Amino acid sequence: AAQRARNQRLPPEVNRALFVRNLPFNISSDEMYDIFGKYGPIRQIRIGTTKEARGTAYVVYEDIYDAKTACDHLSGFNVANRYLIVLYFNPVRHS
Amino acid sequence: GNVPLTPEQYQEMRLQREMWERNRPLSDEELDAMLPGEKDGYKILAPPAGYKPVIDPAR
Repeated sequence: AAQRARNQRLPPEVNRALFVRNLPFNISSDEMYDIFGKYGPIRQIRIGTTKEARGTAYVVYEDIYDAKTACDHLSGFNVANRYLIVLYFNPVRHS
Repeated sequence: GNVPLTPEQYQEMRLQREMWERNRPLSDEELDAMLPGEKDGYKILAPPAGYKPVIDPAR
């Protein structure tokens, strides 16, 4: 069943980078890797540091199927009495 | 010669190729080009000491 799921076609908006909102401002690297790492190996996390970007992050998984599982499970996940908003990153660049 | 694929096999092969393309490893340069960086207020969060992404040998 796992093998079948791996070959399954995913909708076009699904991608390995997730955009996360409503994070606690003081969240640590340990907590971030703990929460998001549960669903699979993480390629990279970028966290917002400015006034506008704080509380948001980009989490990139090594594997697109892990990213989908994480997005499905972590939307609305409660961290320090806040509910996470997890969206797929939209790779269309605005230039 | 190759045995021609049935339409179902051909479709299956196309889907696998598409998913492989969407799932190939990303270089740091590709990540930089794709995601907002320091000028947009984001910094790379260093993994905690001892974090090792596990590469699934089944892949």
